[in-house]
Amino acid sequence: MSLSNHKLSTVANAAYEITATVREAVAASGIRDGLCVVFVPHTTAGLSISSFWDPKGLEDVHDDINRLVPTRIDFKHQFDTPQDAAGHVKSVLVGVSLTLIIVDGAPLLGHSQGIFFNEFDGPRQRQFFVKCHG
Amino acid sequence: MIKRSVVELSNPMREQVLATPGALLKGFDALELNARLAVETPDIYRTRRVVLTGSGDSWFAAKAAELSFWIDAEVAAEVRPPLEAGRYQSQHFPRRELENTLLVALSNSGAAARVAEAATLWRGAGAKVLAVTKNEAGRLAGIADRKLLLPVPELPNAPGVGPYLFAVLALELLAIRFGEVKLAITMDEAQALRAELKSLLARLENVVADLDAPALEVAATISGRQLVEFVGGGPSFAVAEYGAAKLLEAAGRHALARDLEEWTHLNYFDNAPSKIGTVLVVPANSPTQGRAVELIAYMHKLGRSLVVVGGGEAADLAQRLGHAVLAVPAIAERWSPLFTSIAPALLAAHLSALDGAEYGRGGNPPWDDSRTAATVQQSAIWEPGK
Repeated sequence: MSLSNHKLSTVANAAYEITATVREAVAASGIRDGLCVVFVPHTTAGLSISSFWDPKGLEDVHDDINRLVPTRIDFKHQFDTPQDAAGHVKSVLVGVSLTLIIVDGAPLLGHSQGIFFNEFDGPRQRQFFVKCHG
Repeated sequence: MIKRSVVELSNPMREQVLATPGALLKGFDALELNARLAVETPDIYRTRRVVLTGSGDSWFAAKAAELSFWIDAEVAAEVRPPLEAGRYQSQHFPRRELENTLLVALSNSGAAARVAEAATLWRGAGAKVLAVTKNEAGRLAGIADRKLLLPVPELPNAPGVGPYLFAVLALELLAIRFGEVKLAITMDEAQALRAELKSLLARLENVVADLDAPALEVAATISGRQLVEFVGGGPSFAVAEYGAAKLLEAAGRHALARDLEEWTHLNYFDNAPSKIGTVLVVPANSPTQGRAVELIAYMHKLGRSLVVVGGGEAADLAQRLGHAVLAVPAIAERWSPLFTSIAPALLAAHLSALDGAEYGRGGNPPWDDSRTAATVQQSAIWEPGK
């Protein structure tokens, strides 16, 4: 079993592809067959799998998430900011972890699938973890 | 040369100055939380204008923090005396402006009659009112829509230093909060600003220690002067006003404050310049430095007994000309009153000790009306049309 930590700096409301980093973490774990968990220890960010072919598609995802949960001023959570309050809801909807199947030392992904870190607040200093079991 | 030691001349006001940095640092987290929750998000977005009002130390605190609202809060802010804010501005300002205004009414005791009056009038005009006060159950808190409570601890009984700086700090934190909620700055940036403010408080104890003995020297130097004028621009004008007020309260001295530019229009022409002590407040990185340098030349030629509080080119010139400098570390100018206010506070404390003066004339006749603060707290409340 291995655990790796990865940092990234974000801007507001954007998707960051982390597929290559996850592939490297899985390879470095030495596990050939098993499971891999990718985890974000934040409450205003999330993880998703989506198509990496067209960056505009990722913007569509974020645009529609924003339409579902617009930044507004009447959130009950007022300790931080309206953007932060909206980010909490988005994070819950999208989720903060992914479980991937490891096959032949690599995460099993469809040919269009990429792994994305979604920033729902930002700009922030962020991180995520990759843990492999085999 | 001072014959009496600083310790021998210790007095409650000096003790309050010495106790204030620790009190501010200890109260910072509670104050930050209070500032964070003072105004609800919808009301922050509703606010197009902030009017800050207060009397005495509260007025100086408001003026000292005005620049923070411009820089950090990204909101139009202005400072008004409560009588003007209440009886004139609330009655005659364009109605739509009033309804989008947050009146920030400051009174440490919560009992200042004119501030309570202004709060009442502004609420009547449709504005939201935030009370910045130590007194949760006070008159002002009872009028206001929201409260920002100041966790001011018990301090040695003397003209206010700690309560004034708590109010300054509260407003600076409120300005950061406005900017954060309006997304003018990110949460991380807001947190960094808060951390920077807190780190300044940690340095304040050294600022006090470094200024204490030099302030005593300066007090001895200007103790023979008949008038002490305090001069400054921008947030340092608030410090100048605060300095004049402390000298009046603590020592009963003739003292006045003048805006840096106005000094050349007015005080320059005083016919007894050698009888005047001049305290010029000019932080190192202030845009008022160049004008201060020009004024120092005039002040020197006129024979003023000059003291520069701050640093930079103005302080260097004053020193070269043989005048006193109360050096204050350079920090962001919008926060500089947290540091520079210490110098006039110590000056007033030492001067009152040298004079053997009782604070507020001891409340003895003919000043006995002020003994229970009746002069500022017991006053008929003005009502429109009556």
